[in-house]
Amino acid sequence: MISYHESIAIKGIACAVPSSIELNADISDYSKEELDKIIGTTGIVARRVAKQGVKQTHLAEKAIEKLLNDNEVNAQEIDIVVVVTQSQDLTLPGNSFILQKSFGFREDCYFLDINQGCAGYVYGINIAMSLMSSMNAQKAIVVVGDIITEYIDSSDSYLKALFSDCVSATLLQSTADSNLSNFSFFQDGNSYDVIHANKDAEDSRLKMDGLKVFNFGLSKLVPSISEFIDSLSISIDDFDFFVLHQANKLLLENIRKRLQIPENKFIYSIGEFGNTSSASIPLSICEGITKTQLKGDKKFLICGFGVGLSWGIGSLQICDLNCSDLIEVE
Amino acid sequence: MMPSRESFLELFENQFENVKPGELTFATPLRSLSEWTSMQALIVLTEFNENYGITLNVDKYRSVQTIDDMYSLVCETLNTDD
Repeated sequence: MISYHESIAIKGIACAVPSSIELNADISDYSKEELDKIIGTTGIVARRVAKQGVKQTHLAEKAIEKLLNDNEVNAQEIDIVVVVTQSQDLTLPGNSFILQKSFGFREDCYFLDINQGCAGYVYGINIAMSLMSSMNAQKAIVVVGDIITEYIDSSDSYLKALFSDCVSATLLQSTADSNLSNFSFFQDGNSYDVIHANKDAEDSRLKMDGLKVFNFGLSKLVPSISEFIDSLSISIDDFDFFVLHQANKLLLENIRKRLQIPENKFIYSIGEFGNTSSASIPLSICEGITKTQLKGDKKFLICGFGVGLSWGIGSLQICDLNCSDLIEVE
Repeated sequence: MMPSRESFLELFENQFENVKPGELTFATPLRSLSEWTSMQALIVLTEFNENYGITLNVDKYRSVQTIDDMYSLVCETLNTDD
């Protein structure tokens, strides 16, 4: 199934990360040779790690504040807020309620909290666009990202070397231009336990079968992206940028080569920021593409994949995207 | 097309930085290779995908003991995919 949206544009993105940087080269559990292989394979040199007690909404507030200021939009103008996270501040209610209080979003604004992981940006944008069309809304904000490191056992050097914290906010606005966007989604619930955290288990932290996740990426993503592009009757050459979830550089390079995507169109943020869960696509757009490159009408292919297992692919037409400078939070 | 045993062994050896050409045999246990780590397993899996166009069954991949077992798994997967 493919969803179609028109006359809705992505206008701006702002991302907030913790200021604290951890280097994979400093992980003490591995030899120098092993660390070189980990860094070479994953592509991850540095990660951002939130201090204990920092909540998802703390980073979200910084990102939203920057997004509203840089795009000269008042919180009262926002009609829809979609929050995609696995890092709920409270068991209930969802983080959107906390963000409404922080910014004074209108009572008749539509709020939606979604539990999704690394495919979450694609889900969030698609849902926000669907809601905007059905409600004739003018402006929406999509907040995605996690304090994913809070799920990581600090003695688990394998997972510690991968994950990093970030929350992003994206502004969507209705437009007179046709501005076509398309999305396609997939889910394999048979593999729900490949990446999971069980609050009732003795050890409730994140568990991941890295080899199975990697194999899923090798087997599913290239055919799904190829079919998606074919179904739109366009080609790889029609896209200016390819922004995939930043899971692992070895996997991403495999996908890039098999789809024959030129290196200069394939965007990375994984080296300096690691795997930032659902925020990795907006973070890569802001940190992996220069402001000059974003000028004018650009076509993006985005693809998020991970927990579920789930994966989503999107084609976005974006004109003069306003990427805010990165916010670093204590 | 099935890879020859010789070309398979050469491809496998080439994935290891500290292994000299001709050092490995089909009887070599993977666990005897100091470089055979979780990261190395991803590298080999990727190499098979790029060279033979296959993705291996992870549970079977994990149970492989020797390079001969690995060759058999690759051939079995190629046969199944055909």
